[in-house]
Amino acid sequence: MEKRTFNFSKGLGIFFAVAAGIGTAVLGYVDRTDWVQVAFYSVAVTALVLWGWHHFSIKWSYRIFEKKDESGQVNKPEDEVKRSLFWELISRNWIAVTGFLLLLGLFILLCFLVPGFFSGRTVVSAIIFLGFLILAFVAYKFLNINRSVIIGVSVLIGLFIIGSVSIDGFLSIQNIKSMLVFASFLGLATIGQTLVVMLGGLDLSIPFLIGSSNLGLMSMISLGVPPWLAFIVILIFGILVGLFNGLISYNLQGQALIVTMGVGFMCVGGVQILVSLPTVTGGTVFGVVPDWLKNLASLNGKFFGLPIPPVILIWILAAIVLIVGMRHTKWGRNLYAVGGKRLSADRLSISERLYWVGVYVISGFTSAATGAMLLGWSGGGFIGVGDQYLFLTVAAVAVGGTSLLGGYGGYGYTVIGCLALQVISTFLAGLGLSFEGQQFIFGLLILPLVALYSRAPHIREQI
Amino acid sequence: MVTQVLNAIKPSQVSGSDPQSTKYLIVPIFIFFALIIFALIRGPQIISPSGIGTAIMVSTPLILATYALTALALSGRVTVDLSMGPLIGFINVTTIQLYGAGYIQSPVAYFVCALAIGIIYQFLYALIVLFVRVQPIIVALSMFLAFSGINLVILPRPGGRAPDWMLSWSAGTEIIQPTLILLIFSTLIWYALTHTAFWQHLKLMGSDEKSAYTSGVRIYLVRIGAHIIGGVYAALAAIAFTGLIGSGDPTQGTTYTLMAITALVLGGSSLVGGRGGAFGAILGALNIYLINFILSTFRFERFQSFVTDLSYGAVLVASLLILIALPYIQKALKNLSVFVFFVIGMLSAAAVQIHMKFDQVTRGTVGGFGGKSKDAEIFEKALESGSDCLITGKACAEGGNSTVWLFIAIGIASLIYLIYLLIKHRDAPTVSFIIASIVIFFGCVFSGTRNVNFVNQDLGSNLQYILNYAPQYFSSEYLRVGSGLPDFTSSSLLVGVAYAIATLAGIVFFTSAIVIIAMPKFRKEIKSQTLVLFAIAVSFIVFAGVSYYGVEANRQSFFGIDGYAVILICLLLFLLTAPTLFSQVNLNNIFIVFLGLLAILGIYFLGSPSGIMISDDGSKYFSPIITELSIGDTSSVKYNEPIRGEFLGENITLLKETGLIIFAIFVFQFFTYLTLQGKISYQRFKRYIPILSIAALTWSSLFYGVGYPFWKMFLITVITILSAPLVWQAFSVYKVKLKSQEGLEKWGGLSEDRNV
Repeated sequence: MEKRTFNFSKGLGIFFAVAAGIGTAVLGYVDRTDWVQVAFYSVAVTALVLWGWHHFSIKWSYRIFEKKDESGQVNKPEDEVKRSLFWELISRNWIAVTGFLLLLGLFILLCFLVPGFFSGRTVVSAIIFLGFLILAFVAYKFLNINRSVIIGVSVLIGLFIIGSVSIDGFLSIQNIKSMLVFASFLGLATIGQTLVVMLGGLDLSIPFLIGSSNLGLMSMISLGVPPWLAFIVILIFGILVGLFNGLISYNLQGQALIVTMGVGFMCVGGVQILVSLPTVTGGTVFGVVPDWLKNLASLNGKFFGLPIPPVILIWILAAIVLIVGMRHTKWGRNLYAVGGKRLSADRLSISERLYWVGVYVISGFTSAATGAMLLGWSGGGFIGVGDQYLFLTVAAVAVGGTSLLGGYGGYGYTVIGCLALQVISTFLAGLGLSFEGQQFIFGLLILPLVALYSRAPHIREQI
Repeated sequence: MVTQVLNAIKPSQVSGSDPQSTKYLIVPIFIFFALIIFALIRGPQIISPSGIGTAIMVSTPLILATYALTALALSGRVTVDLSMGPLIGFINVTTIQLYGAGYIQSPVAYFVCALAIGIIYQFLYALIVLFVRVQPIIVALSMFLAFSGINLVILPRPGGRAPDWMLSWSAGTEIIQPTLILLIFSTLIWYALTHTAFWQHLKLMGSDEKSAYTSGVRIYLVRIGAHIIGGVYAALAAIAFTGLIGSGDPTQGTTYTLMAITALVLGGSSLVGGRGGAFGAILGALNIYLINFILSTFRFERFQSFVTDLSYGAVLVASLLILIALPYIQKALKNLSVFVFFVIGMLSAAAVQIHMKFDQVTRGTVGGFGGKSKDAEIFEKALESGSDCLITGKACAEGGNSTVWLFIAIGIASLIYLIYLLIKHRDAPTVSFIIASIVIFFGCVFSGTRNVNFVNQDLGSNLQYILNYAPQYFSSEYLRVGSGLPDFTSSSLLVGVAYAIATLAGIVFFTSAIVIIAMPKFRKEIKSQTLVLFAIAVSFIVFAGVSYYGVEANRQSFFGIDGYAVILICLLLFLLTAPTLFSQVNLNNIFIVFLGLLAILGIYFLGSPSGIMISDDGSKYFSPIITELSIGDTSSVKYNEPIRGEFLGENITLLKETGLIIFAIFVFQFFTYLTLQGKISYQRFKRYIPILSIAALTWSSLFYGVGYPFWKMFLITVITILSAPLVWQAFSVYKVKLKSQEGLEKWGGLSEDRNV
């Protein structure tokens, strides 16, 4: 690496780091946060950016020169290299640069056109957002990480930044906690979906299972069954439904979508009938939720005195187990093998049926568990509690970057997807949109998010 | 000559297309007729001008939506457009709001607007799928959310007003109505489309996109075309839907999507692509309507929506399970044409309809399900006048005779056709068949007076009202399990149900097992498949029998367990013999079909006892057993004596009995002949005598169960077995003739579509 190049990168890096630090400080000042926190955040951000830049810049410069050497060019005088480095970067990434400039122009245009748009907040958020875009782009270009992870994290952080700037109380502890709680419900419900999708299936029975286990648990508790027993019964119920799903859909490859939907409707109808038999009111059941269940899932839950709802920790634990398990155990690797190519897996004498049914069983189990925990959160049984998860689970998996065709992805991606979706929905709600409006925009947002990276190859390349 | 018959009977094969290509329709047809028989029994008003009109009106939007889904599903890549329901809702609320705002006032503008929305949306959908290259299901999911949201923004709650010219659409009292015209028009367009090269490309692309691409199909254009067709039909569905509800409703999305997809699956279409058609879509949508209708005849009240959920799910899963079995069924029914299968179903439905018309004393065909009060008026009027119109229902129904006459006309026409067919092949079985028909006909004519006195004249009390007007058959409200059993009768529900199940299932399985065993050359697979098929059928029959059992005792009809058993056994024999017939000649199929019909009619007319009164003892019925799914008090009912023995004992005339016996012998001979596969030496038959005797006795235990003397049946069996070779001799003349004819045709190269 040449010294000039290194200096150039270093200078640019320091500039960005300092700018980010100052930006953070200004942001903190605008938000009237405690000065200790402001200082802490500023220093942290500066250090982070500096480190990141250092890390990237080495690779960056290294790669450029490596390429030049390969093409057999002679080294040029130093200042020429410096200039050409800058221009070359621009000319190489002209699409991104143009897009960036267009965004900038759009922002300026908006400032002029819309009265009241130009304010400290919007400017700061725009600058941060644009800066972040550059960072994400560079990272994507020069880092050897998975593309979907980068995009997912970028969207997540970008939304987070915009949200925190434009919505009051977005960064408050309470809000973050609630977002995390919701995300963990979604995340737990999505465990099964991820695994099922990894094998190329889909499980649409999750929302119905959540709703019916929620209602069933409440009904059982109100009938006087000991809560722990009812909880176990519900989990077994979930496992059985999952087993049924798996067995049928294994024999109906390609129609898993409809099978699970039908089974889900059967669950909902059956559980509602069973629940309504001894009571007068149809549909909703009231009762006293045990404290441990409430504590498990409610916002004010405590984990050994710490003010963290245990459900978040459960989610983190499950995520770690799954991520490690899928990457390092035989079971996990076989899962990828079956999802990737059935025939090859068969040749390795991996039982397709076992894995297929297994993931559906897991899916049933986690859905039932989620339904039970949602009872702790809401305090009353309601059949429609899982309705939104019908599309959210699929969307979280797809947005995270797991391929719906199977064989590619993992739970780590889904975690990012869940967080991103949660931040989006909190953001939309924070903007004061009605539920219908949220739904509309949400639906429209999922499409481009998936389109960003989960594109199928052209038919020409499939042959 | 045989080829002519073939041409007349099997249009699907003659048209030159793949004979197997429509075999998937057998499952929807089976479900359809099972449901329609059930629906007829629960509520006969479904076959009446207003009933059919309502059915058309309600199911047209669903049929059109299913067309749209079919076109999309045909294109492959699992294009299950989950957003179909919200899209229909979107078109509905948008056009309603535009109309309300004074824009699209003329029908033309209205149609154009709706079609434009549908086409534009589906066009965009296709573009996204093609160029953004996202999976279709993702687009469907996200648009489902988007549409559900925007619909509520456009029209926050159900309301608005449909255009004035559309007001007559929601009447549904006549068969000929604007919705029907719309439906026929769309179906014609569909059939026109299926005859284009584009459609072939679409099917090819659906079943294998890569080979379609490599063989030069312009898959981009084809996919866009499929989506545009889907858009057109979605728009038409939305228009029909608007006409149906007469207003705007933004909340229908999820349910409608589910219903349409269920209909798609019930219609036998493949979600993976490449298979599906209009006939299946219609059947699927009608099946959904029938399920709803049947459910509405039960009084579930606050459980209604739950039961609807449950049954949708169950039907969906069940039809998918049948799909698993489909290849095996196809294999087993290799020689069975779909058309003949349709005819069988239609005939059995017609038989049930005739039965309902003649036996359901108190039911006119007026009104929908809520029309009970009108029935009551008719009933009271009839009671006052003292006429005997109560007995047949024929004279009683004031406006609804046309359907019965329609069915009778169909029956007569087909009978004439059959006789013509058989006279052309003048030979032994024809002659014996005609003799049997004549005997049965005379049996019908001289069946004696059917004077039934209705004693429940006290209509004042609520209980009597319910007893008289609630649908009796298949209705668990009237379950009187276990009557006829001396020891268990008044005790428990469980014992009675167990008894009924054991009896029915035992008979059915035993008979079928014996018949299967009696066919030595049967392949193992076919045997097992038949058993699976009948396990499905038995559940239906058992339910029917259990509910029916005991009710019949107090009706003048004989069409009880025995009737169902006959249907079942005919079906069984039909299915068993179909694959082993010596050629593909469907004359035999028809023969068996009409024998089945004749058996039903024979049992119905010959067996209907005379002079049995309906008990005036209200305690003979249970209080409504299943209402709101709680089981009523079963112990309060007392039976004085078994009701067995009232049917065939002393009331039967000699002529009737003779006709029945001849008929039974004939059927028995014919099927044993088929069983032996034409090799009719007595030596060969000797081995099977014990088995067949047991089969015959088992079968006749049904008759014994209703009081027919045992010694007579024993005598009949002995006569049957002893006379067997003689009758077979006569049969074999027919067969040899046919065989030689077949050989001649083969020699002349006339029979192309016969792969023996």
